[in-house]
Amino acid sequence: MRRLILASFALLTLSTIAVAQPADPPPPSAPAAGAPAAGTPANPAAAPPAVPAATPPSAAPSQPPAGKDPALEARRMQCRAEFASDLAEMELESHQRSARLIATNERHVILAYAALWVLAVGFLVYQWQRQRELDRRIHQLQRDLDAATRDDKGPKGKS
Amino acid sequence: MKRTLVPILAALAAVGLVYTLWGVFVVTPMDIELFFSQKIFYYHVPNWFVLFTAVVVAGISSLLYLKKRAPRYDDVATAAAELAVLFGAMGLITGSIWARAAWNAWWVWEPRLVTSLLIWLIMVGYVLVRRFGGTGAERLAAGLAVFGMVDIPLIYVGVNQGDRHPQAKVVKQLDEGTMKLFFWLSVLTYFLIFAALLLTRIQAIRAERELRVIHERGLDAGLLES
Repeated sequence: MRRLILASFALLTLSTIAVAQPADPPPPSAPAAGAPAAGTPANPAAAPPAVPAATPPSAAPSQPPAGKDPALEARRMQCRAEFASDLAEMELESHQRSARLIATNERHVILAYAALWVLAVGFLVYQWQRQRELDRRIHQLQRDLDAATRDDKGPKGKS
Repeated sequence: MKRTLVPILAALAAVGLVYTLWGVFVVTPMDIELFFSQKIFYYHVPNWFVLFTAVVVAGISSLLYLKKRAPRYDDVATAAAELAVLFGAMGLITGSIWARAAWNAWWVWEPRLVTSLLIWLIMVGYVLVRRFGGTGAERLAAGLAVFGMVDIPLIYVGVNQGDRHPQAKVVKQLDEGTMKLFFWLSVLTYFLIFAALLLTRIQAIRAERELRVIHERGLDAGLLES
């Protein structure tokens, strides 16, 4: 029974991983392009689709530079164009995240109030210790004076 | 009266602290420009109010001490200077944290901050001179306290140099009734704390001085050994 549960759990885990992992897109026409282009997002969900878009983006030049694989260059241009729209979305999201952070900036407020309390408590503890030391000295002096006046034999106590 | 005054002040300050904390975080609305970090303002600014008061108290007491040479003025100046160091440290640290939230920088070399740091350093100097200066340090420290008092108007001038300091904006925006109410309540609370601490410190410093005098008399009379 226990083995059955373990096996079903393992199966469930494996199937979850398999579902969560997207299938690799088919390689582009040039299989040599194994390394991703600069600026390609790490998130597979944001990766460009395998099939090129029907209309090339306006930002991309119509002709790839000479001396390079035209298919690869076309693919790269398309990736950049796709990424540009993703980047705009990411920027907006980043701004919204920053705005949320500023609006509920609890970290700095907590830090400031904690600093206030730490300093105040530190000062009070320091003053309390000084007061105790003062009380100790007063009692010591009282004892010394009592001893000196009682015996009347000159210097007695120590300060 | 003197014995009961400090506990009364401390109790009032404790009540004020709890009430203003509740008011600042529950009642007052969020600032439209500085948002949540503006909550630091309610305790940061009273720190500086108290620092200025402490520096003025230390300065005037020092002037009186220099003129009359009565130790009781020196006691008041010493107690006030110690509290100026405490409240100045609080103001500088909370200000630095607020600057990080508002300006994204822990410190900016703008006039008000620099003059505030200067006045705090002068008060630290006062405390160090009193602690390690030896004989005659009282007069030197009194001079420092008077010098520190002169720095206060410079800070007021410094904050009005442009709109860079967030506090200048916040004070203008305190239109909301509860914001003003809890700000001034926290100022009052801080003054109650200051008064309680000042009286306690004056009593302790006076006791220390009297103890020194008694000890010296005991030495002179041959009753005590050094």
